[in-house]
Amino acid sequence: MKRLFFKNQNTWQFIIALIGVVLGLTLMLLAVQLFNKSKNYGEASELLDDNTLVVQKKIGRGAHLGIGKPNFTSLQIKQIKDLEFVASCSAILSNKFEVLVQIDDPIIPSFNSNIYLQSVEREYLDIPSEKFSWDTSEKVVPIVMPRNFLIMLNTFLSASQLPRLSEDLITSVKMNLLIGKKGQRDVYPATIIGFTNSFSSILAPKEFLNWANGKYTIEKEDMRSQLVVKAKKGFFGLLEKYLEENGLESSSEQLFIERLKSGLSAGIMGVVSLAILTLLLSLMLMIQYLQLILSNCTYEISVMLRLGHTVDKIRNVFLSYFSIVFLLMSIISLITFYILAQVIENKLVASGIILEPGVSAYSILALCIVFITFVGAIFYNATVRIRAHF
Amino acid sequence: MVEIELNRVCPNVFEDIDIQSEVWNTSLHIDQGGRYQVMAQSGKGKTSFLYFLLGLRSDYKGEIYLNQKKILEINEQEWVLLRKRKISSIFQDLQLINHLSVAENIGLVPEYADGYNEALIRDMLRVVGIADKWNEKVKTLSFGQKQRVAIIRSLCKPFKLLLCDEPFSHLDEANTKLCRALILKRLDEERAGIIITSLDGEEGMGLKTINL
Repeated sequence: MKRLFFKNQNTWQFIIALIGVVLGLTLMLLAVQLFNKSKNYGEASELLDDNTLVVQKKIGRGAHLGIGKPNFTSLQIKQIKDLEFVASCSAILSNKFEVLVQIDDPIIPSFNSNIYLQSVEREYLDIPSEKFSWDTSEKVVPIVMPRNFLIMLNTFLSASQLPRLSEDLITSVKMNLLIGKKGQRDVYPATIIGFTNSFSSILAPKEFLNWANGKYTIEKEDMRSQLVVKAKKGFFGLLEKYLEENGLESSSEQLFIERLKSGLSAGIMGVVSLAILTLLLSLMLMIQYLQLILSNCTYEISVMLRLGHTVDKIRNVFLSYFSIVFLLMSIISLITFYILAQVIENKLVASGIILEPGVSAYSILALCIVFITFVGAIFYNATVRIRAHF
Repeated sequence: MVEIELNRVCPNVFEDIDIQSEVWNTSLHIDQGGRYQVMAQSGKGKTSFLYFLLGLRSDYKGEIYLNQKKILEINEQEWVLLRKRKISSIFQDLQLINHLSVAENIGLVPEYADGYNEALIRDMLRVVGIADKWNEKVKTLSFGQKQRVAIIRSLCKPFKLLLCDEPFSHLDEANTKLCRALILKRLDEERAGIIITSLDGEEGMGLKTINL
């Protein structure tokens, strides 16, 4: 029957439509993949739950002049703690001594950097207490690393023409905390037990920080510039409103990853729009091509119907033809998408951002939805047009 | 079997004309297995009459019943079964596909494989003198040869009523005789009836005449 209906067709329109489909599908797969991966970047292993915020005062010019200090007083902390929508609140403890992180592992070159250590009550962190505790008998200090530190480290590795480190890999890297003044530094081996977007400093167990502050303090003043605040369930909006009205802000909003994700999302949304537009146009061209074929073989269709063939049987000839063509285009798009995704992910890795490997299930789901929609449109159009000749 | 009843049927195009015949604006009963010729000059609605019976047109007043069921109430699935197994037809414009061969055109009949094998078809083509055209494209045949292909295509399936719209109009006397004989043979084999439209009447087929 294919020979009967698909003779002497103008294939140019079809070829243009096919190119459009491949382009549209590839862009769509890519956009969905990147959107999903960037959205999930760092979410899976985040240690703070959705109701908890790291809060600080908005820094104005006055703060630098000593007016309106960035530190929280005990009274201010108590006021926040007493709010009816706040479940708990406590100051974040910071180091009052000089500390460096040193990477001491044969897989990457020697690396030293000044860092800040912070600590919060364990109730705010989604880490088993036995993993994130320390006492003086322990040789190794468990730490939680901010993701932007990993990005910085990977940027350094990239510049040194060395392979980047994934979150999994860096947890096995040998690392030391060097505490004390230059020339008198003590070495404390550290191990990474998790990552966070919410803190810009490395988190250490409270016991360790209290102990180290006692031993190495060089500042007398207790710096309480950040608080960790947990809202009661369902009252997160009220907490955000309170912060806005009282000159406070969530520090996580200022973190590099959040800005990166939001910038990336905006770009990806642009690609998604372009993909949808290209897909719609090319699918419309395909449907038009189907209608053109159906118009060109009006005579053949009416002969078949008069001989006793069913509408379904004739429709299925077109349906199977277009489904197979679309399936082939999908395979080509998948291959193109996979290659492009690798290239883009390599570029991101070079910038220190390591996304989850593999193809996102959402990309495949989007492809299935487009396929089903297309087959449905062919089914409907062909049935209606063939039935008109019955 | 197929039984037909017409009750005051009149094509819409004749609505404003006070047309009276043995078909239009009267009652007509066509028996199961009956053999009829519908005679009229051009423009009297012979083709329209057959198209009404095949459910291909419905631009008429009155009622037509096919096996006691109003034609306009017959659904798509029922028409498919009727066209496949009960009613076969030879159209005036033949309804052949020019870019396909004779064999392929005959192969389009959905019930072709149902007891009507290639040897049987080739034999029928031989009887009407076009056995050598089996693999020829239809567009290369003369109208008379095409007419014979259309006749064979209508006979190589099961049917209880054969509707023929001026089937011998482009055939010479000798070929007309051969085709008439073949049709009569198949009618006997299938125990089927026939309605042929004709300008002058078909001789030697034992048909009852209905004047349109």
